[in-house]
Amino acid sequence: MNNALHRDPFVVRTPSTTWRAILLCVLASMGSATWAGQPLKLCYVDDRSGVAADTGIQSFNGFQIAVSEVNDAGGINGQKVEVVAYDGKTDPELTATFASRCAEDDGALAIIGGNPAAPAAAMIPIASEYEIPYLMLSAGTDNLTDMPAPFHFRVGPRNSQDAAAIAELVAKQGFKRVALINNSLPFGTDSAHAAEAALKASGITVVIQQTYDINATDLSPQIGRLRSANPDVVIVFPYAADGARVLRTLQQQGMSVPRVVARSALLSTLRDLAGDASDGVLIPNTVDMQRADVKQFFDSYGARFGEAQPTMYPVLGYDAAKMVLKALAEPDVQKALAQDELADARVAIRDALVRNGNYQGLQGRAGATYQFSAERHHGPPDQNWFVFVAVTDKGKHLVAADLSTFKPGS
Amino acid sequence: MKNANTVRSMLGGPALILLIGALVPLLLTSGFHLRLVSIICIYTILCTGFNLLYGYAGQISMGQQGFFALGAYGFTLLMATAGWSFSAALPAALVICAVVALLIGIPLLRLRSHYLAMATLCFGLVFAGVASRWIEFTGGTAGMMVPSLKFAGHIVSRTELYYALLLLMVLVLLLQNFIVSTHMGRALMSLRGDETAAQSLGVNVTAWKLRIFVLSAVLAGLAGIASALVSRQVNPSFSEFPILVSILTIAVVGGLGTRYGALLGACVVVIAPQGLTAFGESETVIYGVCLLLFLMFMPHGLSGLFPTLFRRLRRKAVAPAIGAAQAGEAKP
Repeated sequence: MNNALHRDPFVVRTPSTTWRAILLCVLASMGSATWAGQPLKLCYVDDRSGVAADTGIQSFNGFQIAVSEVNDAGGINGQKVEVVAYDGKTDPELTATFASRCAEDDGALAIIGGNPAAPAAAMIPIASEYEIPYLMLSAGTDNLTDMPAPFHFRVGPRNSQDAAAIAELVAKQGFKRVALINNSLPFGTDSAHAAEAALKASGITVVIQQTYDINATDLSPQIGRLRSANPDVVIVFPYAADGARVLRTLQQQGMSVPRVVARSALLSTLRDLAGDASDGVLIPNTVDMQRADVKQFFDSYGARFGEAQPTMYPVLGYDAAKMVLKALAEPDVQKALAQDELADARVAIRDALVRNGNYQGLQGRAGATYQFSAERHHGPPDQNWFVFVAVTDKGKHLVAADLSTFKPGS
Repeated sequence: MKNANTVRSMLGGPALILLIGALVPLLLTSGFHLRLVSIICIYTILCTGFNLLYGYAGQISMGQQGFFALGAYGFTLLMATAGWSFSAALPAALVICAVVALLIGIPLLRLRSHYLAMATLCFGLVFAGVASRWIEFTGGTAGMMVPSLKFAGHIVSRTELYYALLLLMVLVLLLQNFIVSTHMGRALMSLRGDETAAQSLGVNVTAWKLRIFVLSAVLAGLAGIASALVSRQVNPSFSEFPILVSILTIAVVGGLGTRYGALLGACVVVIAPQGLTAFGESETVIYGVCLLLFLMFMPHGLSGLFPTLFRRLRRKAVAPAIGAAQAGEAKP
């Protein structure tokens, strides 16, 4: 899926530097990059072989499409964009080390990446220390953008935004008796608490809330209690494998009420494991396939990397890259680059990201824009951002949800 | 003569490491490389504690990452939240590690082998759970930022921090060498051999197990504090499996029950992933295969390799001399 890394001429690593690192000798020759006539370097650091590899690979593919578009059009003021990519393997320490390598040795202008929360969080201090713009992707932990980190931006939605969107949908569709079930990890518990609060604010009763251990193989007790509470909709906040177990157990116990599963169901792993038990499930997504530009993007994606379901992950990589590439073309950035001032260029990119904060990307519904500002480094707005997709064909495909059939008793 | 040899073996290695370590920043111009060598120092401190506990005393703990995180969180909370000074927060965090190790060590160290491993693993898991979910106190998954160190208005630079870590690492290695060179080391090794036999020889098994468990926990906490200062952040991943995997990998690669296995293993574990990026998607497979080869052909790790090579070279050097001498004797 990711063979393009070796195929594309612009994806270059620096093995000589690498081996110098291995030997820990002859390290003094790494001076600051001279930018005039040199490629503009962007770093991509994410998990591409660990537990969150699906998200990292898809985002990286989207990122490469954006860079290819610019390079195919002649680059930025004649300068090609070069991608330096590292696989952090869900290891926060390794990810942070790669981020510092991007900032120091590679002389990158910005770092993009960060789907799983812990490695994504580990790169924030690096971005602050080296003053290099860091665009974090789908890591959804709410308070990741609460800390003062002027070079850190979040492109994906927060967990609480997913939860609020689900609560809004449930209220709008007329459901009155909601059951919540979540795993015991922070993603599950945080999202369930946020959904419960949002549902209560809408006057909807949460008839039961169950928490299970992510490694629990038998979820019959929790599902049995859910069934006894007689809800008219079930909302699930799982990770991939445990989410499949929840859906299969719901099916085995004959619970055919409408189900909504958090963004983890966008990952094919969950749907593949759940099979037909996942059919009909609704998932909050930030990709609206009704938009022509989004459809065109996924066509390009399919042509280059093979078919992909319309999820937020490729789009996050693409949007993040587009925002940085737009910033690179700004006069302030170009001026700093012309003067070989890497630090000034990074500051100018940060400022340009803020200045272009209302960027319209491929995430969100038609007309929705990011909302970055000097005070707000979390991009997705609370309104007009989420689109619900439904699972079909034994978990294989995601299609636009038909909300007319998503009603109590359906 | 014997005492002189003991002192030389205790001090020689650490002195050489200090000398080489002091020169390293002069060869580096990149903060990234300085970060790598700082992490090597941190892992060496962490794994020296594990080496004393498991390599010498034979007590396996799978909860060292819990103490690593406990030290880091304790230090950060005392400094950033409670407003303590560095000089107060550092020893206080280490005392917290020691007390917690003592409290859980008293019941746990009655267990042996995999039972002890499982029980200590639970400590690591419990700590990771608490760190993730007690959001108001620990910052949850996002963790907490660690402020830069300041002394009299001067912000400690990365290079200064590295020198401090180097010094700490050398002191920890000296402590390890001192322990294994004295009756303490023999007592620990007797535990590894046979606890009943050790007790019959007058070794207070319970006391020694507890002492070494507390010491390894304090060293893990010290490494955690150092890691928090280098990363400028502490989060629940400090107590999660990647740290434990690193500890075990260092033990395999460097060699357990050896004086410098922790340092050699840390060098490989920290530097190899950086070098392997040149292999793209194959890097994980290559790393795994290399570890497998280490296990198959170098069961004593790199530390075991050097003495073997040395002995072979010496044998080769000595063999012709003996041959020549024998030939000389054979002449009429």
